[in-house]
Amino acid sequence: MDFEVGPFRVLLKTRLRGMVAVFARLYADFPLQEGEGIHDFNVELIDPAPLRRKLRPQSHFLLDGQAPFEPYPQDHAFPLFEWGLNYAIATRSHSWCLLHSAVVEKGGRALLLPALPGSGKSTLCAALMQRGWRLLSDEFGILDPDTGLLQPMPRPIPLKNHSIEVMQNFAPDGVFGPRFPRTRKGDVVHLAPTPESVARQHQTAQPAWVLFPRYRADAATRITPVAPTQAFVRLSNNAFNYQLGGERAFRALATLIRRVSCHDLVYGDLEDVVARIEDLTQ
Amino acid sequence: MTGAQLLLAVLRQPRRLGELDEAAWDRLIPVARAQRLLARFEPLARPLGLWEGLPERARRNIQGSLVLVEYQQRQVLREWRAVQKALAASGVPLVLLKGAAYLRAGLPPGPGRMLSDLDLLVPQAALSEVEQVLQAGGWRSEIEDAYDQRYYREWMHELPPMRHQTRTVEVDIHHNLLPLTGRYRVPAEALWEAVRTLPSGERVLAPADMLLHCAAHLLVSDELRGGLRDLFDLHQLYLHFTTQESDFAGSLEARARTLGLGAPLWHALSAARSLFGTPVAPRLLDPAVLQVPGPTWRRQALQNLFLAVLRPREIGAPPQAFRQWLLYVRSHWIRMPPGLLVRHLARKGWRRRQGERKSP
Repeated sequence: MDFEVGPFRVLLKTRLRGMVAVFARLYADFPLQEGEGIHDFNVELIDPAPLRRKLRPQSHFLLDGQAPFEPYPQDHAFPLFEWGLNYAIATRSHSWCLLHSAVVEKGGRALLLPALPGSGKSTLCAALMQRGWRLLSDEFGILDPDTGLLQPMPRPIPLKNHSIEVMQNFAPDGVFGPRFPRTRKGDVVHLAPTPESVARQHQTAQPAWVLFPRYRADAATRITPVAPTQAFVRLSNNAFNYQLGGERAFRALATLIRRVSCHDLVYGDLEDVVARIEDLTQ
Repeated sequence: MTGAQLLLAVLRQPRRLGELDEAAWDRLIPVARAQRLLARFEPLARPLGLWEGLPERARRNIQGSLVLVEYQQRQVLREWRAVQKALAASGVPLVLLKGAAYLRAGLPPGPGRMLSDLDLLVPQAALSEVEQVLQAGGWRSEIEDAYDQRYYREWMHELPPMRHQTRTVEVDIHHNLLPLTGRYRVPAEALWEAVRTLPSGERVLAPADMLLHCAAHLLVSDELRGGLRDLFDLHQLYLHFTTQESDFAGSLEARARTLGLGAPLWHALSAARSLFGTPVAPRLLDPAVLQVPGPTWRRQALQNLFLAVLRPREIGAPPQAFRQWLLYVRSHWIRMPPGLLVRHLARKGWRRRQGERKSP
């Protein structure tokens, strides 16, 4: 499979049967690329020991022919691919400032939901996407230091454990993948990006809001302002490659912080928080 | 052309970077990345006015690699400042080696060159003082095993690698260019006599010695894999010094004799000429001039072995395992007398069976 996700062109080769079917469902809206061109990531998913297949089938993630990780059980090939591609981006694509954040957009203006442990950012961005926001990414805030714009990279959103049922109830019309039980991060089900998110995957967005989400069961939605300096520290500490970027990354992030409004967000109810975010971003 | 052929072609003639189509870049980028040479394309292309004309996706990949390299370079230079500060009061002279030397001396292999260690030369007499000062300043040796400590102290040309407790850069303190037990005995005092002082006051090896060190390191190291990067350093140094120094070839020849490094120089220059077309002075390709020992067939067999291992591989091609093993054995053969070698390899073989961590 030869396809583009946002700014990246990926060549994925695999013969693992389960992998092909899941990929076809969750990447259905991504047009396959034809013709020659530069691939940012050459990925293969293979069975490292076909002779052992009967006993304990496995899958290996190969990047440029090298295996950066231990093999996974073969029926977890798709989460391995998603995780491996994230690893590849985070370790190589340093021409961008890679923030650790979900990003959604409406009217050309982007909302960042930076990840802190237990923040529930994936769930929240999935909910916003299912209510008409365009998904830029559930994991990477890809900031172009030269333009100050955010680059989309819509991919299937991995929902974990409790979030799976919550989202299936919240958005029964979403395109969900199969359940992968007991991965490294617990049970995982992927939600495909909406067709609009994929169709506009090359359209950049201007950062406008930063919300630091925190999920707390049964909590009432509460939105409180955050000082820009504090937001800067939180975003830079949590970025994938802020340290590497030196002065260029510092300037890029400083410019972003000057252009956005920053808030803390505590939420317990998805319907309510989506409505409150709509109000905030009117 | 395959990716490996393209890599050699653009290193030989950087101007060709401007002539590649996207399909060629697609084959070239992974091979260049695997050889740790991808970030070098930016400093090669920019002075030729080619950078802006490269395909955007190629530039993004090169730039991504360059950001990482420049971060490593900043870390190593920061470590260098910390080491200088710690040792300032002692008055011990320090000479920068390899990557950090290229950077501080503004030499062509510097920009875009990956480096993770800070390599320094100190006088052997000052070794224990340097070690004590660094330990007092928070640097620690990570090698706890008594055998490995002894390996470094008695047989190698450096202290066990040190690292500051709060940082990541490895500091390698050398007192010579090559191991003490080996076949080549470099007279360290001759290096010190020729040392050059930069306008900043920092010291580096004399140009010929710097190139000889590069050659010796390349051919005596047991990790020829990825040695293409080091051979390209040598190629760039040769090109640069022949334009900057009067009769550089003559001083290389003389220094090779003084330092006893004629054979590694001959092998490295011959390989650089084969792979990159380095315009080596004909005298330096004459084994008799550089006093390369042994019969022609053996010299040629060894040269072929080096070339086979240095030549970049296609992505997914099987490694040159047998040839690499031959060179691994050779590198140890050069470094140690036979009795010691047998003991050392036996111990390492035993450890491997025990599943211990990799050691020197």
